[in-house]
Amino acid sequence: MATGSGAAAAAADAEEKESGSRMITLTSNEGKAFVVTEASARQSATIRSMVDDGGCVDKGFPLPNVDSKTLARVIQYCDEHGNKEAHTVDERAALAKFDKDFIAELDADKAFLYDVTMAANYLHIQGLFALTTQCIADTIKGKTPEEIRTAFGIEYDLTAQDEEEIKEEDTHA
Amino acid sequence: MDGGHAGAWSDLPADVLITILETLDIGDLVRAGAVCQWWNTSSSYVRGLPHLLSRPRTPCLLYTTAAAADDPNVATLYSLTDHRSYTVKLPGPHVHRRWLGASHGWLATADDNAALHLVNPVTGQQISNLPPVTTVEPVRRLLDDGGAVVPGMYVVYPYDWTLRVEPLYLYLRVFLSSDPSSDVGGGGGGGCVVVLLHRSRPDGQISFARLGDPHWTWIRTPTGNELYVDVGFSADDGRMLYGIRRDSAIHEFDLGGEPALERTTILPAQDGTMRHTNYLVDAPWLGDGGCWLMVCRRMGAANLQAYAAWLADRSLPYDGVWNTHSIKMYRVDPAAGTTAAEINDLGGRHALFLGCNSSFGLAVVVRSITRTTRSSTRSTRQSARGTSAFTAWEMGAFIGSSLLRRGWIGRCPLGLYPALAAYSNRLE
Repeated sequence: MATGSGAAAAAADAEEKESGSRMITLTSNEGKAFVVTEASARQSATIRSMVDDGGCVDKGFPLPNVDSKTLARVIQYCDEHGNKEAHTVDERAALAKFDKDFIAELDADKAFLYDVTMAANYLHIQGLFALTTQCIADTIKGKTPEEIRTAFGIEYDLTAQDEEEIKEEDTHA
Repeated sequence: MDGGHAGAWSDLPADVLITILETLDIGDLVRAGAVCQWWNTSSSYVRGLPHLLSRPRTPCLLYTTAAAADDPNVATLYSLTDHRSYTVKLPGPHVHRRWLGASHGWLATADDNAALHLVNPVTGQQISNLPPVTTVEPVRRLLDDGGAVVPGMYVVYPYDWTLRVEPLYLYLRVFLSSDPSSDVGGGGGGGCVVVLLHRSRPDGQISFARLGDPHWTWIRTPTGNELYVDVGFSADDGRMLYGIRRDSAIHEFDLGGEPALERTTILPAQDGTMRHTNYLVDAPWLGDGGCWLMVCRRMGAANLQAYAAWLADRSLPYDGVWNTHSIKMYRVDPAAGTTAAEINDLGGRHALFLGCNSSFGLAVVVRSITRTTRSSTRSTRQSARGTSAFTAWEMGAFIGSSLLRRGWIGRCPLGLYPALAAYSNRLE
């Protein structure tokens, strides 16, 4: 899943010029079809490798693990990063601004953040995965266990023995 | 996936959760471990990964404790930033070995046969192909009248009399110019230089070798290779070696120069009392162009009254314990000529780690450090035997807070920055 973003982007650019503006169809688990540019789809290492393997470009790609709402949001990210240039300072600043607003929206809806993180992981969209996991880490930072549970809606399931062990570790730490 | 989130966050796939937890500091990591069972399991796993130790600028102390005596090869790495202990297993029988230094994440030790080893306490790797002790210029095997080697003893030349030493005491300290694991594929003239301070009379001669060298190179100086107590390297390439002597003289040697090893005096001798244990600390924060901090630690009898009484009457009891009497710090700016200016403040938020490890200073977020309070000097083993300070057995850190753990039971701690990469022997 580790792909050098610069090299990958350059390769994607080259590929796109070669193949013109080929369109690719992604289908959510609800059967809804999303037509995207190949450059956008190539943000996903999973799809990129399938395309490069000469896979089912014409038939489209069914994504049984991603629902429509999540896929739409993921495509929004891929369009921004796949279709737009990021050569000049201004272009990069615009992308950074997009990322910031994008993640702020997700941060406010933790259930959706979860879905997008899972999709980014499944589709191997490195930039998006880094963005969402960073957001999750930032949510954890500086919080007590109880506050973290509240932030993510996690139920308390530790036994008294777990608690004791954690306390023990904490005093060593 | 909407609506079905009960328990989702407490069920994050392991790879995703670990990716997130890996970015956290230890405090957040411990708290995240108290969220639920799955996060607890994952947090424990991440804390078990050695990568935490590899974070840049995470200084650690390495020590053994009596509690670890059950397994003699177990040591403890204590992270000063995380305030956390990590148990590490050292390769080979090391506990009875003498620890001679720590640089760039590697521990230098000598075994009972006077062979030197570099050990990476994090990866467990060991480098043992250092040149044999008998290639140190003044060191020879001790022969009996019949010409046979006397095991376990060495002779140090040249003297008007013969200094016989046990292997354990041949070496004073060991320093590395760089991390050996970054010493890859360099062909000849590899990067990592091992510098040895070895015993003689007077103490403190310098020899050095590059990894893979068959023998040690002895430094010949106009006024004798002696009295050195600490060394440093030029920060950029490690080519220049700086040696500081007991009399506070600082000399510079060009390890790659022509003619080789010409000596330049950075600072002439300041004090001839020879009761100092001096340290040379790279202190770029003190000024532009490579400033050094010279720390002069004056040693003396711990119990002065008993010592004075014993001097007058040798039949009186005296414990022979020495400790630190005073510590002075000087700013040495090579660009400003051969002077040293005494300073009372380390220049803000910095802590020094002195002792057996390669001396280093680092920025800390504690109140400013001055030498005015002697109590702030935590010398874990302040005593020294005899009249020569046993620098190798001491560790002191000048810090304004109690960052260091106290109450060492086992071996005196060494400060080091862990290194994770592996060393590959390019000669084999």
